[in-house]
Amino acid sequence: MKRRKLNVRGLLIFLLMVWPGLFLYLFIVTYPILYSGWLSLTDFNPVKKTTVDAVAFSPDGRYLASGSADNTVRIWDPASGRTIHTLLGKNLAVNALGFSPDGKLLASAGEDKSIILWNPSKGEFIAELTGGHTSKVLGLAFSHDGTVLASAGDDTTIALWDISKKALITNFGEHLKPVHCVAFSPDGHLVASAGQEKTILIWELQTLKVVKTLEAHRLTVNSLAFSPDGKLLVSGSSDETAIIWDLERGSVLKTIEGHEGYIKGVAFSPDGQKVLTASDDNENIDNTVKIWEVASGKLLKTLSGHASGIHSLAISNDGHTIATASTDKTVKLWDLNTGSLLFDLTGHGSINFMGLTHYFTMFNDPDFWHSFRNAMIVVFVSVFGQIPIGFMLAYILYRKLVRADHFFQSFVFLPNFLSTVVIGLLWKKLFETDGPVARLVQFLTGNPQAQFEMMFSKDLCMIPIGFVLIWMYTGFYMMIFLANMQKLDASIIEAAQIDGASEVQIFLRVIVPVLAGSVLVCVILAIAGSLKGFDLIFAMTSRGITRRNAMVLPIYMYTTAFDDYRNPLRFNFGAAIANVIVVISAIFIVISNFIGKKLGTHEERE
Amino acid sequence: MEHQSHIVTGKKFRFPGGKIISYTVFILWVAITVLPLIWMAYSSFKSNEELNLDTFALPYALFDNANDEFIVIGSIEGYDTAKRQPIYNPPSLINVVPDYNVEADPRPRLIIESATIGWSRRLMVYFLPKEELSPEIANLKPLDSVWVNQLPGHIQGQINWLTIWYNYNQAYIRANLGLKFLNSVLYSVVSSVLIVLFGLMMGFALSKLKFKRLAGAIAATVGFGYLLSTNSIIIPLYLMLSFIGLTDSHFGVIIVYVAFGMPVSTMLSTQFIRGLPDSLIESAYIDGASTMRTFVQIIFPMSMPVATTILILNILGIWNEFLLVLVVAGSEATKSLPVGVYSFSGLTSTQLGWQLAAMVMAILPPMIFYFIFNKRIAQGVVGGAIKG
Repeated sequence: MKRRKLNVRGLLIFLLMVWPGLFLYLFIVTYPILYSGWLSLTDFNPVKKTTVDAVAFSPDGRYLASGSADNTVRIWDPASGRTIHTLLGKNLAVNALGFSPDGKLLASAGEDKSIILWNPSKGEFIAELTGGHTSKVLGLAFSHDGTVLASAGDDTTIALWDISKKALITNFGEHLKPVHCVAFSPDGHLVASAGQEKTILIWELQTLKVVKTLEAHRLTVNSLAFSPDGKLLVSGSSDETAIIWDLERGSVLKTIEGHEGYIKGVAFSPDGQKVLTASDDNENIDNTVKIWEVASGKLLKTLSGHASGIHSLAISNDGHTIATASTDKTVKLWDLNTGSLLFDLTGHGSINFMGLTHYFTMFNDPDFWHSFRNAMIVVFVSVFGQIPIGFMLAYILYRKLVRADHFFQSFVFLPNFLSTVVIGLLWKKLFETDGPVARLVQFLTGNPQAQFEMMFSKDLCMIPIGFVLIWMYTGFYMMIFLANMQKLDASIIEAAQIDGASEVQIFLRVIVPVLAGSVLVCVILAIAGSLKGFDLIFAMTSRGITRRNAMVLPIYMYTTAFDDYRNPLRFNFGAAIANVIVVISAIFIVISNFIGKKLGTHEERE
Repeated sequence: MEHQSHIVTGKKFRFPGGKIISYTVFILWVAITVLPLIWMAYSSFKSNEELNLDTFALPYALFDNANDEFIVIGSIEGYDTAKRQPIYNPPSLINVVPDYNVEADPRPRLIIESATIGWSRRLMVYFLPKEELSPEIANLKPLDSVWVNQLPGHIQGQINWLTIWYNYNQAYIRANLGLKFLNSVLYSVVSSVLIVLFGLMMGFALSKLKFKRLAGAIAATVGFGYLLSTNSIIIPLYLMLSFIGLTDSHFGVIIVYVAFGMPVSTMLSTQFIRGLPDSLIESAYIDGASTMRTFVQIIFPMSMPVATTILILNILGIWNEFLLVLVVAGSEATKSLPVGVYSFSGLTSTQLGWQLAAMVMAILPPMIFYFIFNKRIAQGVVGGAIKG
């Protein structure tokens, strides 16, 4: 009994002594490793939001697509309410969606400025359209023959894309403020666009000239839709009204009032008899869809059920189903005739398991192989440069071949002690095209035009970097070897000398084998250090060409995760790179340990 | 041992030319180390024009400043208490920021700008009290020239001094290096002290308290961390710290450093404390001391050698650490010296003189530290590396 009591008290003291260090270690070191592994297998991104901002039916009604700020597009089966595909990894916060009239293409766009084309039935990526916008894309529309895609941008322009060539046709616009929506007339002759400027512009597609200007809204126009016969246009605005326009006369036919929130979605029913409007209300009073009769302007039905604002509205071509996308993270499907809720589609914002996708992407990325090659050069320079040279220098000091050994030793070791970044910046200055090293070359060769251009060459940039690496770290290994040599029993050397061994023989046959253990330790240190080395090369290069040339794995990881803001999966991809770095260094360490054991050395740990 | 090594080193070395090669190698090596540092040191006293003109020439322009030309750009006539701003003449002086409190000292002052250093860019501007100047100079109009040797003696001395240290002054103020130096000191000292303390506690518990299995498991877990560095898990670390709101705070940076210091610190102190004789602890127990008391009064003082090694290793490592602070510290207030110098060099890419001055200021404190504690540091670094 007494013994047991003592143990409990002892255990408490044990835990008391251990907990601060252990807790911090588990919390800061162990947990992120698991987190990193998990990140690299999913699309989890802690900064993304999960509002659903766009929704579209495929023309045949077989698919419903919804786009969300969670960087994904989901394709649903409207008949069963199940997710068919989750399209991810290309878009950043999807704002707009559009199906081509034949239903074979789905376009999605958002904050990343580019437009992605997908195959909706297979859920596959087809192409990325870039270069049309300088800011986020807010609206998309296919022309009714499917040859042209129009996109409305935050940069106040409208871009037209040739779908068969997957290329930009033109980028035009007379809007002065961001354009929020764009629509094609059913006959394909007209384009309507509107946005923060409040006026709606009607363009002729052939000439890109404004043929009509519709003014009546008091605030941003969020959504536009042509009637099926092309004679009417409906527009929904943040001024809480929707207006039905007579396009022939260019005048207001009816103003629809009754919503108490921003009207973010409008649509005509396929028979042209009804108009649907959806509202987004900050105060959550009016998050409804209202159905109106076009002829009389009478309110027919109100569909309520969303917990927060509706950002997009779509109606199927058969006229039976309405889909609404909301900031409450859901998409809801409604029956137009009865007004009843058919399905509540939830799934946006959930974390998608992506398997080894990130790793495959990485292995297909030429940047990865370039940084891998550079990393191998750094490992090679460390193992076959720093360590042998350090060993020789240590031997010279050990045998007292030079006087003032302490002076030399301090200066060779000095770079280790200086801030790596400052050393890197200093060498960057020295290695500038017209910098001190170039001047020195000019002076030595007598050629006043000589410039130092190695940093700009993809193949040669590792030469100056390797030089600095040797200069910087050799002193460290020299100190380790020297410390171990000084522990040696000097009588071994004495005995060899008496036997008539030459200095070279003593070095190769006596000193090297005895110190093989410390060499192995140094090799392991060098490999681990080289693979995670970041600061020196980062500081020696500047963003752009030199850094791309001299990119090593940690810089590849850093630029992926912290510089590439357009990549929705940047943290996941970066985590995958980090894991690969750890695995590569573990493999190298195991191999060098194995070779060391084969060669009969044993680690000397003293 | 002493005796034998004396015999060996006393023997004549028999490798032909070995001495010459050895000296050549070492002297070249020292030259490659020292010459860039010397170049950096003297170039930091050169003006930008000189740096572009001749890379290797000694500094001249900033030292030869007795006859420098200054150009009057206007004057401050007083302080407008209603508008709470100085009264300028001419009223629309752009980019002139008084470097003193005009409200407390509203004396009329003449504003002059150096014509030699960055003329019209307001890089070197002085506010001279008119009452200290001779009447001819005090009444100069904008765009008139004035030479340094025409000014009163004490102002001349001040301008001479500030001109020589021009690059340093600008770099120190613009990069806010004082604050960054303090941040670096805070990070390295606080983290290292905690690493030593927690490491010794762990080491004592794992080596001297009788929980063999638990101790083995903990040692293995912590030992795994030796393979990792902040560089490898910076992404999840950043996400985690931003999730709990510890990015851009001193505390967040310090706990990360402490956690990553634990593996080496634990390993070194476990080995060291295990080597201390058990009889010491037993006799302390017999004298009636508790476990905690034994740790504080016996183990802790005896572990000073290993504590110093751990301390030096970590201060060195944390002082030079870059990526964590680069990623985690968003604002100027939490940046460390290396990150501060790095971002300063990116921001002022045309002002090479300032950058060099900032680099000298960043490199000087560790260099002084190195040459004072040379031997101790070398032992510490080597000891730590080998035992790890």
